[in-house]
Amino acid sequence: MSASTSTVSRRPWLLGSYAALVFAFIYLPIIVLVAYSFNRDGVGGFPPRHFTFAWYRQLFADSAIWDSVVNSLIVAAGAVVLSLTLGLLAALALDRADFPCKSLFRRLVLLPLILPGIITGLSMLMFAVIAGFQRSLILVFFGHGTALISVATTELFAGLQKMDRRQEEASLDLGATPWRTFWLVTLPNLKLSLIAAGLLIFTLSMDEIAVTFFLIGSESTLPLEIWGRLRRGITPEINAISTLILVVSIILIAIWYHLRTRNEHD
Amino acid sequence: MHGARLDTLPPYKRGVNTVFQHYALFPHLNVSENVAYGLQAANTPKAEITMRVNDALAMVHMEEFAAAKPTRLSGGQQQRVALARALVNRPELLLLDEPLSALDANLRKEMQSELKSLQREVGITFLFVTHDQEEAMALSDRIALLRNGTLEQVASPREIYARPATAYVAQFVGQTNLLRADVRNGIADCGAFRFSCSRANGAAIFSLRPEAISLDTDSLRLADSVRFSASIRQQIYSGATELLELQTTSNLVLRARIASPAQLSGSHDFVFAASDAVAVSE
Amino acid sequence: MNFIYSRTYKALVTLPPILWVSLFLHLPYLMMLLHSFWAVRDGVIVDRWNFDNYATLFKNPLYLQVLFRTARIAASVTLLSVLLGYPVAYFLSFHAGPRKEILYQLVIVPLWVSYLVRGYAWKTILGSDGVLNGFLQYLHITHGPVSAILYSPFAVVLMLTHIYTPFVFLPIYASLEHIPRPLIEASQDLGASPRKTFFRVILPLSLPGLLAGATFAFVLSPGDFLAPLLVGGPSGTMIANLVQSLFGAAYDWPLGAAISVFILVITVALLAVTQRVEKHWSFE
Repeated sequence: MSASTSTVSRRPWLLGSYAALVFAFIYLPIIVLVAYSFNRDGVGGFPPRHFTFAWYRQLFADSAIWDSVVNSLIVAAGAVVLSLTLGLLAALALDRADFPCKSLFRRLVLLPLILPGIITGLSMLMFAVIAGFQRSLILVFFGHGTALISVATTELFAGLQKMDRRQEEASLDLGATPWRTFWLVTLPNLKLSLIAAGLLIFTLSMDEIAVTFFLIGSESTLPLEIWGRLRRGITPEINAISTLILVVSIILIAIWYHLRTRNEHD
Repeated sequence: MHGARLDTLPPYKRGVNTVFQHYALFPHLNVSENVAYGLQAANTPKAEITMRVNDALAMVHMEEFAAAKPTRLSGGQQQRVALARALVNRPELLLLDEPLSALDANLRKEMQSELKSLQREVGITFLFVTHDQEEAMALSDRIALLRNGTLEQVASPREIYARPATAYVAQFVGQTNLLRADVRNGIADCGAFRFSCSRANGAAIFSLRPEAISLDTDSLRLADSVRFSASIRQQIYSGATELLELQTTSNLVLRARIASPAQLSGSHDFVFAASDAVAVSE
Repeated sequence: MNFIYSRTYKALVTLPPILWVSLFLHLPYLMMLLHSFWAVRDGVIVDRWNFDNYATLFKNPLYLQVLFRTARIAASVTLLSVLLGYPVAYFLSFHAGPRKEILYQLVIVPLWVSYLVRGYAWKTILGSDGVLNGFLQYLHITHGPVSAILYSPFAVVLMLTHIYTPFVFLPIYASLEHIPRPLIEASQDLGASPRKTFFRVILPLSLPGLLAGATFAFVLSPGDFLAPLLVGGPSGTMIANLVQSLFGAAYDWPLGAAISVFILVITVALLAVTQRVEKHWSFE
């Protein structure tokens, strides 16, 4: 029996056209953005007429933007390390230890994921002000790292649940210490989850505004720098940097899919 | 059906209902809603739906589960609901796609006999798809045996067993010995022995059931008895009968099923009736 | 099951994350909660316990107006995201054939693209000298720039719908993919038309995914304070913008905290309710 499911609807082409329109809606802004980064006459007007690299040249000479890029990279890299470390411990704790209020903790650790960023950002701001911390890039790093523990815990907990516990039992049975077992069995098994979580945290941190907005001092991260310029008016330079961000995002996605499919074929 | 092709009609216009392999009961509807599904699709009046659903559930003894969700039911119960859901529409043909394959052995036997009596009761043609030849033999009035999508033989179970049309059918339904023989003037020669047949000259294949062969001790000698001697290579005890693996002097290996449990060894004489060797095509 | 790990091991993995998260995440949330019951006197925050902040939120007509607008925008975004996301998920699940995997990736790739970048793109499209106006004039549909598009609640809805459609798509697609295909064959076999099959089998079985997606959009869109600033203008101000200004220029942390707690409570309550309903609706 293999009645084809194409009989579900008699007019798939109607549905197909609708789906095509939705895809157009999703991709329209991205295409417009890229197209106008090469438009000599700036953002706006139709159609874009004169091709130019001028905005990219201007962008590469713009040291303020590149300072903010460096700041963002530092914060994101730090956030990845901090949240992966604590997230891994939290995932291990949830997977294999029992402690009071365990299920409550599992829910509470997810709060930054389900709450609007502004609430997390403002809560941290209050804490920082009362504890006497200066608003600074370091504070942003702590903020991102702490809020993104939620992502790390979720991803790594899922990875641990899929893992074959018997491998660890075998390792301990063969006389390896828990510490060796952790490094030689547990971590290699979690490699893919760790990379996935790391990439996701890195991307989220690079793009974060709400928490950054309230914790930053005099420095700037890339999103905040763009944000500040937007308030002064739009320039194709922003299109250019956005296009570069897009390219980097796509490269990251490609790396991720490559790693995942290679791992599936092993 | 009625001379019309079914494969070109959309499934919802075919007048055929199906009991699916894993029942495919709707998990979000309860038992009576499941059974009512087809009638509602056909815009049957409400009162009639209630009546027919109740009848159908009574027929499969599932009245008390009318309000239950299918996921709460056992395999056998789900099977009954699936039957009721199909039969309530009074199809001209009921297609059962390996309906018992998901059940354990005991329940399967029980459902087989239930299905058979149910079919007699409702009088609808059941088209029962199965890979289990025993099940097919037990349930069917007529068996259509398919191999890779082509029809090998259509006949009653007895006919299929006694007169298989092809070597494949003979091997698929029960055990058999396939004898490759050379026929010349009504005599088939397969090296170890010869027997008379009604085939044209040339190479031929015959199917000889293991139970057609018996020890040539005190058995009745018929006109067409064929005798041969063979040594016993292996003896497998299976309760009422025993399966012997025989090797003739010309190295032909045959299986015989005999009804005399005793330890045998060495060489013995065996006999079968020439009419039991059925000519089959390749 | 956990016997293979020693007490030391369990303590080592449990204590650091719990202490860290409690101190640097949950304590700040708790401070937010405490502040919402305090007050400002002469420009100083004092711990005078009261419910006035919450009362203000529901009494001040300005706040009520923003509250209702936020709810309206969130509901519109949710509805539009479902209307865009569901048919695409349905098409991919049932009709895309071998192109399914690549189309699926195409839907989720924008999730990786910077939020700010996408918001900015809408600004350049909708602005009065933006791409849309240029396009309309190019086609001679309009002759001067139409300025009513940007800086309106509509622009906020459009931008947020764009952001949340892929999020809504994901759980719907997952639930459609989980429907056992024999159920659809069974429905057709029992004489149901494609329409009936959709409304009686496919739609009910995909409701948990639909609900998850819709909740996600409805819960997250009100907390967005950037979209209104970017494309909403004064008429598109949402509740998160109130919070922002109360913590900033207006310096009324207790009131801002009360509104934050209100958002938090609504969010958690909605998620809890839908989680229960989803559980009730899932038929595994």
